[in-house]
Amino acid sequence: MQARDVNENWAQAWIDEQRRNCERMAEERARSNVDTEVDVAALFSGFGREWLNVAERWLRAGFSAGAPPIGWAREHQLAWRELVDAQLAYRKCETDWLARLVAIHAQALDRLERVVRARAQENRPLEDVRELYDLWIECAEDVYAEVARSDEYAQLQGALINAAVQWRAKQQIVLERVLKQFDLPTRAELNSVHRELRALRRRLDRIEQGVVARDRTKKSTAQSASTKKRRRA
Amino acid sequence: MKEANVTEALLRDVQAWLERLEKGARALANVREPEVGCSAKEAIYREDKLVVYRYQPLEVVAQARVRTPVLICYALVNRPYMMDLQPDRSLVRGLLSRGVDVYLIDWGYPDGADRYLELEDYVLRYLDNCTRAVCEHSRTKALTLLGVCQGGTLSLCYAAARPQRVRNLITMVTPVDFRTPDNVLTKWSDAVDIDALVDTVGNIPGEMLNAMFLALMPYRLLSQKYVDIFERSVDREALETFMRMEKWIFDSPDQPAEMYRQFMKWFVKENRLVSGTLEIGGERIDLRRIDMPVFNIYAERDHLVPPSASRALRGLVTTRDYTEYAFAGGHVGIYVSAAAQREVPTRIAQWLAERDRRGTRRRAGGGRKS
Repeated sequence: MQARDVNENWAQAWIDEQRRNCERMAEERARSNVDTEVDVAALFSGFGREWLNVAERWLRAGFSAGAPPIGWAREHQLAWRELVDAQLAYRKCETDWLARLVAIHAQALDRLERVVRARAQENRPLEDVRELYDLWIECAEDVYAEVARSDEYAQLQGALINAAVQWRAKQQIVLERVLKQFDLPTRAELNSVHRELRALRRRLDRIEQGVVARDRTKKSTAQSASTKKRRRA
Repeated sequence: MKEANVTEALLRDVQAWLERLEKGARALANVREPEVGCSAKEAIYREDKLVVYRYQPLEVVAQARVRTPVLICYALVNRPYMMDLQPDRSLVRGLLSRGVDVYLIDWGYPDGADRYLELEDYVLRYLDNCTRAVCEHSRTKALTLLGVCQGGTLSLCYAAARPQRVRNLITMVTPVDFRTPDNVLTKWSDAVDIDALVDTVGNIPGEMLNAMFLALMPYRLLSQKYVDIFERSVDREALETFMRMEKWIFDSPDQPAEMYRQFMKWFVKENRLVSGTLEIGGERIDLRRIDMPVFNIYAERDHLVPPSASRALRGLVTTRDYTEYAFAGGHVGIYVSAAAQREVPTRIAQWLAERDRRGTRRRAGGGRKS
């Protein structure tokens, strides 16, 4: 019984507070028609610490990185979140790929070292720096060619390209939204027009081909009729 | 003491090398933007972005003409001026000087409006219209189609679809079997989601393809090539040729999105040309319909189109008149090297002249393998 009273008081206090907020907002709004500046912060002055705590807990629970966005702007928020995720995925692939390239460099140097030592032992020292450079290129290309032909490298490079494509796809989604908001033409709209144009062009070609074929048949029929006529005559 | 001498000598050597490179860089700075394409030509047909040119015959060889005109179908990946780069490096000029009547398709630079062009547009519409235009212009019923690289693959499809228009077929560094074990580009593309790429990027930028080609030999193509030219740069002519090549390599049109999607999936991933399952615009493309004389030219050291990818053609066509020619060089050297200038146009012109002599007999008697 006591708990229910407390609860009712607590609820009543909240309702009263919101009512005061509404009155204050109405006053502010009326004033803003005259003044150009509005004290936005004042709109939230009625929010007590408790309410802010509740809101904070709710925000933390509901807006963690993995949770789906909700509400009026959820589609925009989702697009931006997916863009960030795609960028992170690309960075990961790029790091893996660059690490492989660095490993190729290191292996090329190992191979170069072996070649240089072998030549020294064979009493065929390098003539100059240019020869060292050419030898390094040769070793690096040999190592790279071996790696580049491997399934592992193809997968690594493919993953990088696919991640870059995904990142760009997400950029396009965000960009299209922005362009639409400003009533500017988008790539999707242009694609739609181009697709339509191509379909029309194809229909026109087929109609023209049909006309040409019909003319050819008419001409051929007329020619054979005229030949027959001449023969009869 | 000995150590110090070595260090000093090394430093001197490095210094001398850097001076040579610096001199080369200075010489390069004086080279103007290169002009490309050297032979006189006139446009005889235009459609959308493509233009068909006819090269002006050389007067000196007016007596010894090859009767059947040659239409060069270049790849969409680079610009066709590689066929006529400069007077001393020109396949076109080489053919003209041997009495061949040369036409060439310039596909232009596809843009967003071409995004939905398909293989059907290129093979059954554009190529068909181009061959018709050349035949009308040269007053002949059929021509020699000379396809280069990707243009060779398109030419094969066209020759199989419309064999009556193609008297002779020449393929140069043309990929036919895309799945030979030594094909690195195919291996790489297997791991790429082509649908996602095309859906997202649209027309495939030339720069993207160039990045892939450079990645085949990155140390040589991104470093050694430039060091070489800086060291040799006292020769102004060599520098100008280098700059023309450089322009050609990086002047790369975009690939129309849907055409690229079909090309990569049907040819590269599924190898339909070899398996006999290719359909373009609802028409079955069967290489066995290629019964006209075929001259298949490939480069022995081709790092882009392995010889094995080109040589596969022999077993797929039904013609009795099939000739192969292995050029001792690479994918680009086959057009611009000194050896290529001596050999390639001569071999083509001789082959064409022989087919001109036999041509009428072949049409009358049929030329299929039994």
